[in-house]
Amino acid sequence: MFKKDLKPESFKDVETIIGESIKVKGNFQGQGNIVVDGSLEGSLKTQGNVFIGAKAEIIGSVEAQEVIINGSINGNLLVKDYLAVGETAKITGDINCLRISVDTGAIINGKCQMGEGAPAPRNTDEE
Amino acid sequence: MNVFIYDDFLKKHQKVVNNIEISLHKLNLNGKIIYLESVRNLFDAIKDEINNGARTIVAVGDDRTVNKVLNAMMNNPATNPPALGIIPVGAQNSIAQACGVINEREAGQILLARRMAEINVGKANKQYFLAQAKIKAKGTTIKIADFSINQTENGEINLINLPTKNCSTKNILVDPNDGKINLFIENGRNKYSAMAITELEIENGQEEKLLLDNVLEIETPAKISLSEQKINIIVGKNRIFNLIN
Repeated sequence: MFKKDLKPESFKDVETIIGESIKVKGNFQGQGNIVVDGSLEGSLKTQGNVFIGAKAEIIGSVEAQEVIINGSINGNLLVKDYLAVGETAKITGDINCLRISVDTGAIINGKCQMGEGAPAPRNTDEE
Repeated sequence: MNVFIYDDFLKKHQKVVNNIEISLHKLNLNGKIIYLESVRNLFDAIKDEINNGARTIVAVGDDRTVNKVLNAMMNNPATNPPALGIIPVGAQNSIAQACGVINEREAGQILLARRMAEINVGKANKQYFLAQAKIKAKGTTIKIADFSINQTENGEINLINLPTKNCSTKNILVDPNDGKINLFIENGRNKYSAMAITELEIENGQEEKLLLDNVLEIETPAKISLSEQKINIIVGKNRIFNLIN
C-alpha cells in the first residue's frame, strides 16, 4: 500500500511521474505506479497505484488498484482496493472503491459506492 | 580481426595515440587502422570490413566518433555483426564512461577481456544514438500512443537509452536492455517527469533541434524508437549499467 507521504525518490517503485509543469492530453495507460503532480486532461488507467499530488489537476476518469488524492479531479474514480482522500483533495465525480479514508477538509461531490459488489461508475470519457 | 577507426582530431593528440598503439601492440591487439580523414564514406568502409570478417570495430576518439561508427555499423546489418569497442580520447567521452572505459590507458585491457553487453540502440528518424537524445522543453510537444505531453516551463527533455553519470546522480535507473526509452523531463527547478516508453514523436515549434549523443543535431518532427537490431558493445567492470548475461 502507498504511504500518504510518498515521495517519488526513484524509478524503482514509480513507473511514471507526471511532473508539476507538465500537461498531458489524452488517454494515459500504464502498468505500474504513477505519480501525478501536473495536469491531465483525459483518462488515467493503470494496474498499479496512483498518487495525485496537491497541485495536480485531472479532468477525466482514473482507474487503479489504490489511489491517494491530494489534488483536484473532475471525473469518476474506479479504485479496486483502497482510496485515500487527503485534506486538500477536491473530487467532482462518482467514486467506486473497496475501502476509503477521507481527511477533514476534503471536498467530494458525487456518489460513492463501496464494497466488492458495488457497480462501477460510468466512464465519462465514453459518453 | 580488429578494425580501429581513428577520428580526425586525433592529430592533436599524437602523444596519446602513440601510447595507445604501444599498449595495443604489447597486448597483441593488432588490426587495421582506418583514418576518418582518409575515407570518403565510413558506411562503405565499414561494410567492406564487415564483409572481410571484422570481429571488433573500435572507435578511437570521443562521443562524436562513437556515434559516427555506430551509425555506419547499424546501417550495415550483418549475420554475425562485429562488436563495438571504444578507446576514449579527447574531452567528451560520456558513452565510454557509461561503458566503464574510463580512459585510454585501461581501454586496451578492456578490449582484451572482451566483456560483452548487448544493448538497445535508439533511432531518431534515420539516425541512430546510443546514449541519449535531448531537446529544450519549451515549445516541444511529445506524442505517445493515445496522448500528448507539453511542458509549460523552460527545461530539457531527455530520452535516455544508456545511463550516464548524470543519471546516477539524479537517481534515474536506466536499463539499456529493457526495450524501453526513458523519457525524463526537467523543468529547471529540480522538478521532473519520467516515464518508460517504446516509441514517440517529438516536435518543437521554435525550431529547436534534437541533439543525439550530445554531438549530432537533427530537425524535428522526429520519430524516436529503439532499433530492432541491438549492438554488442565491449564494456569494462566500472560500467554504469548491469549485464543481463
